[in-house]
Amino acid sequence: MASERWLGVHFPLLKLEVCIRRLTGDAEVPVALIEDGKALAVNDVAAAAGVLPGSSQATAVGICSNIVCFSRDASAEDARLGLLAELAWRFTSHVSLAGPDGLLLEVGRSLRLFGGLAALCEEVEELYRGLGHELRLAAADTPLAATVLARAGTSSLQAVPLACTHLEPDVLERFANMGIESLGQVLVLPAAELGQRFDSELLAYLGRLVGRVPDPQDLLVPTETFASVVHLVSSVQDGNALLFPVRRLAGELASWLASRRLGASEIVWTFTALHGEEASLAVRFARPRSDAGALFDHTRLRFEGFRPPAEVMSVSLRAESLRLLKAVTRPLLPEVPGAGIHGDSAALELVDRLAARLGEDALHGIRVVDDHRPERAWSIRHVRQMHGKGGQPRQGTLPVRPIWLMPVPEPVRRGDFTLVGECERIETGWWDGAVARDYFVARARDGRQCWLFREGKGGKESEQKERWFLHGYFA
Amino acid sequence: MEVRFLSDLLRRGRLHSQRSRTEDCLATGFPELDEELHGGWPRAGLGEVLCAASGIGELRLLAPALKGLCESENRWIVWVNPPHVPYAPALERLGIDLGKVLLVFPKDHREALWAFEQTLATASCSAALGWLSESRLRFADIRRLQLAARKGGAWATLFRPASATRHASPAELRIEAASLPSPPASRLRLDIRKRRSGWPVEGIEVELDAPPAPPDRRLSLVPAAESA
Repeated sequence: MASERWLGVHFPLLKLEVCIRRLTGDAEVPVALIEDGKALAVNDVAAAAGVLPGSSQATAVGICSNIVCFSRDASAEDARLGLLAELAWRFTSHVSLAGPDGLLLEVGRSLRLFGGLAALCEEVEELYRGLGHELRLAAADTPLAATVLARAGTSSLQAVPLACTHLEPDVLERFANMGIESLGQVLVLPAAELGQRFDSELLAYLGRLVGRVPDPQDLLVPTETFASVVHLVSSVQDGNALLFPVRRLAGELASWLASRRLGASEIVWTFTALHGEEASLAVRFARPRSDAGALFDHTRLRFEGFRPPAEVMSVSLRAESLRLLKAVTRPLLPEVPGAGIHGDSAALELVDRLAARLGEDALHGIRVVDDHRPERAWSIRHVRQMHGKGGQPRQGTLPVRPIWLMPVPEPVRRGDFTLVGECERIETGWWDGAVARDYFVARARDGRQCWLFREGKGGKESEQKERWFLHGYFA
Repeated sequence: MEVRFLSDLLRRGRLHSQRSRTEDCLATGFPELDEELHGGWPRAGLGEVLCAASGIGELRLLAPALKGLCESENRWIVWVNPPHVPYAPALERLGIDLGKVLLVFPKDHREALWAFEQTLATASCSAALGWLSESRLRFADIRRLQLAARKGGAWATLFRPASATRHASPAELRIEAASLPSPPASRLRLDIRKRRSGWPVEGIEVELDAPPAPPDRRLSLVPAAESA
């Protein structure tokens, strides 16, 4: 298709960067990735100190005593690449994986939206560099060309060294023996000659490279939940030190959510200790959030009352209840009519802040329940499920009720109170737990306005047998 | 017209600074109190209600203003660390929208103070009622609450025992309430210990929403007299 335009994204240091994520703290330390006793890759700090890729581990440690050495972790690289690929959905829905350390984005349809290739590339770079990844970009008309250009870091296929292609080592060696080292030299050779000397696979590869042969890509299919882990290099005792990996993961989640136009209403952190002990911390939001600031801030607030296990070795973040964010983040009208306080984002923000520090259980709403027994005429309700008013507003004159109701009526002496006003009889049947009470408003000696009741059949029994209870205060 | 001295005018509250205008105030629902407070409760500020015993009617004193806020604003009415869970049917009867009532039960004094301050400062509550540990409450804490209430445009009320009158407070309003033995209506005697642009005044009497007689559940056997 003529309109197809492929953007190759290559992460040259991915294998090193997945290891660097495991460091706590922001301090710059020299890092080397060791494979077979040799430094496969080093970071800038190590390079500046004189450790070069290819030097042995002994040399690296000799030059730079505080160097941190990692061995390669292929599964972490795969997982990371998968995550980075999902982040690219913000640019296009056509994202596929390219090799162990690259991605392919079909951006033909996105260019106008993002204001041209240069602007799009800038955004891609900003996204991945912000997450701590070095990258190279290249655009081409075929997926394969985009990949090899990005790997080679050039803009011309002619200049691509053969080592950056996907050719097998034996093919590379035969070309090298023929004095051929760049793709340009191969492409000028007549196809028939190449077909005779090499197999048809090479011709097919070159065909896909220049667009003579179609090269359909496997599109990445979105996964439903976000889960990412950071394994730390050394165990962490201090809760504040954990905030570094927490901030990192919150940033990743925010990018992941933004690429899908999703917001999380609940995220769960899990801290795993050296000896396998685990502690989880759930952070809930009154409305789905997708910004790194809110995800991190609310987590930090929860941290104040949270005790992670000693010697934490890994931090994981899971986001499960995801909702599609509304396209218009700012309503046209200041408030949605009828949505009440629960449609108001500032009001919900307060709930989030308080819940983050005090815990969900510290916040309540109340509502009226239609029940004759005073102690059952109300209930607590979860503050996040408070939609609308607290029950239907009732019509007519409501009976007088105290603002403080004792959870359990307290036995009192009748003589300590002066009764005020008339008696209100509250009676329910045996099927309802049989209540028969005469309620009075009364005044205590210290001036308190009380709600008293007399238990029993209502005046038929003698004064001595009457039992009086204090049930509330008219505060 | 009789000649009045400036001090006399000030004492009577007839003259006050530009800041205390009626729009900065919430009508209390008690005209005699509104007059002394130059309009009512501070719309953005902290007031203290001091009473010897809890349950004399200190919340019913605030109820008319809370009802007004429920009707005019779409913000929370937050209860920080109340001594009991407020009884929903009672609030309903006082006209307070239960959908806007947010109860906060912090674990300790530090959390309570934090929650109160956050609530006030975030501008998403119209009124906040707080009960804090008297022994641990410091002058500076109250000042922080006062500043937070101003910042967030919230009417904050701190309930304290009457003994707190002995200590100075940065709150802009302090009212001591005591129950008056005058059944059947419940009345409060209010002594304003501190107010904006005015001297303390004592002995204001307000009649709270008198508990009406319970509705007669028996059917009336006597038909109403014909008007014709």
